[in-house]
Amino acid sequence: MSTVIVKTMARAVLIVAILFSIYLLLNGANVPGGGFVGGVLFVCAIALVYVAYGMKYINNRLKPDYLSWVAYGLLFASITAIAPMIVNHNYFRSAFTHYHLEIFGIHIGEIELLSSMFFDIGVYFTVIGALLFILTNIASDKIKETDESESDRADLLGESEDFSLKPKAPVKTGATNVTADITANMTANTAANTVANTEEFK
Amino acid sequence: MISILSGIEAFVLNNLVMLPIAIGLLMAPVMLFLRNKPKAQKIAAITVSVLLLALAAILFWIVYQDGIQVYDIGEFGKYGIVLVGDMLSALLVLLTAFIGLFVLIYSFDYIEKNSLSASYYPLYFLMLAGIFGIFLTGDLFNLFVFFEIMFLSSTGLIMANEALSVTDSAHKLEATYKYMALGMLGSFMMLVAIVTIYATVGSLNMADLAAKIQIIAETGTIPWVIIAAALLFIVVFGNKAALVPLHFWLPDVHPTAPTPISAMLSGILIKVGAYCMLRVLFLILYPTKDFFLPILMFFALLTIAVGAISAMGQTDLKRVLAYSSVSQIGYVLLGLSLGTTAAIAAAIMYLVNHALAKSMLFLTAGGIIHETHTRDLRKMGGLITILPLFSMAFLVGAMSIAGFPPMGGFISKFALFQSAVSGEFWLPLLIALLMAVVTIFYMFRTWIAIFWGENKGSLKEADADPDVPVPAAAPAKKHKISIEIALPIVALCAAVIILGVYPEPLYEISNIIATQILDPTEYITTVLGGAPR
Repeated sequence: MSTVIVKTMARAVLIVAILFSIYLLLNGANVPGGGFVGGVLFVCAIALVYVAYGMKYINNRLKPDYLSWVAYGLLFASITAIAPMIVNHNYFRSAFTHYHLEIFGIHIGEIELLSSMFFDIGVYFTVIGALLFILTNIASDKIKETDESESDRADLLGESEDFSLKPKAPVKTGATNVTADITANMTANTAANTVANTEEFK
Repeated sequence: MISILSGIEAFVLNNLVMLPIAIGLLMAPVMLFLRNKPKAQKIAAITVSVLLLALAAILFWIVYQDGIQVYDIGEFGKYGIVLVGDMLSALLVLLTAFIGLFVLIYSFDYIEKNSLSASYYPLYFLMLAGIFGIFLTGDLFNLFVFFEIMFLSSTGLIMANEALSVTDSAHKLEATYKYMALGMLGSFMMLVAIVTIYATVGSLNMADLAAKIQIIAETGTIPWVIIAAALLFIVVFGNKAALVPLHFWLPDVHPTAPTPISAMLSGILIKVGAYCMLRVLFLILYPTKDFFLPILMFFALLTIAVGAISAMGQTDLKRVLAYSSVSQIGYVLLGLSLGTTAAIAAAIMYLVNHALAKSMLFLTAGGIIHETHTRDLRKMGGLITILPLFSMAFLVGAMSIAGFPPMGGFISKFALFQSAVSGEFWLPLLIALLMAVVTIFYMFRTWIAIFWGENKGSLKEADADPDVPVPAAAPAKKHKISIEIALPIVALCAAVIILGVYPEPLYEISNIIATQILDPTEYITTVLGGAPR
């Protein structure tokens, strides 16, 4: 997967995608967008970096703890909802104001400032934290490799040193007998062990 | 100082209906933040649970004194979501807070430490918030949202690790998968039903819906889609309440869940289905009662019979209790389906009594399992000398479930049968009575199997069987009965006995609730007139 093309493109896309996700977050109060969509886009960008550079690359540099992102996001959202109760309003009551943005005396435009924006920011972090927590957890799950075949091969080649191991399964007695014979011919050193072993099996 | 106190009082009284939900939702992230400090988590959890119980009691008292309370979320006026606290909601919120507090105390010792800190507390409070939300909401779609919160957080809780587990994680996964798949299907069907109602009537506010459907029924025939939606709601809530053709997930999920969560699932979560039927079918869709009442009665009787007969043949302690839950929820739904005021009052009494007794029985079963390291009844026996407290508690619970005086279960069963007699429902009464006898049989069979006879030394038994590997987490050491495990059992036991000896308040409250449900005029006028719209 991680060719040079993917790595280079991931770097280029990362910045643009994050900027666009923040745009979606801030713009999403009245038009399509919002915390959830912005968060998902952010996760997509980060997931692309994971795909391109691998888990180790990011974990060595950042050591991210995504569960606390969830905690911060949820806390932010619930405090936004509870805050109006302190000033004698109902739960989830939102307020807004308009703000004229001017730079060097030039009128740029009018910005609508919403208190429910903070709720959206909370959702944004919750979504990012939860999705990346799930993704990284699945990715870091190691598949346990059965080393049974390898040990069998080692037995056949006489490489296995530890003959005093417990018999693994009674089904294998035949196979082990053969190996025991081979190894007995090969080295006198382990002969005593193997004889003991074969007798045990019989 | 006085001004601060009066300020707090005003704050609590203004936001009384919202506070249980808001606190539950706030506690989830707080618990996540404290996940590296188990001591602080424990203190915060216990404080907040006591606070929730106090708030629920205040809410109940205020609703009892001043009538229905309405809260307008976000002050959106006409298009907003309202929370409504009427007697039914307040009673069930109080019940949930009560059982929730003791289940939480029990979990301190019972749940494995890492699991407890990292995920158990946040999900537990989220689940409590969801349940409170379901009971208090006055909006049909909001009901769906809270259903999802409760459902997803309880799914996580089923997977929590016990300190001393006797359940295979493969079994847990299987049970959780069933729970999730059926829950998702149920949610989808619920959405379809809600959308149908909204498309036909044009509102989601429960009071508004009730008023409009009443007008439609008075002026002409009811559109068939509303009847279809009513029947779909039976499927949806029947799935949650384990109505018989939809019950098969419950005997898998309730035994494999960690014991405190089993107590919560059997005590509260299946009651949510019964509550929603009461709220949606009887408050909103009551004009279609000729269609849904016979169907509900048929399936309720089937539930009683199948649950009781299945419970007879079980050898797994928690499975017996789970099948018993299926059977008992059938009695609650039978009370609803009889449709008279007395029967609905009896059903509500039954619901409360069963919730207390069954959560206590599950908690006791957890203690027994920790002692014997097995759930198999055949490997138990003679525990009465080792666990005298548990044997008493289990006996009280079994007597309550079977309907023996002086326990709470006797009063509710008596009231239910009496309402069936006065309503002249002879065949349902016959079936219910017959199955009550079966209930006595399976409850006492279980008790005798656990506590009488010879002690079979279940630990050695497990070692002797070579095919069943002994779980790694089952060391030979005994789990001592700590105060955290004993206190909830004793408290719930006391509640069961008190409700049996002194049942008048509950009886009176149930009658008020039944009258309020069958005559929703007060509900409608309070919600539509009280909120600014």
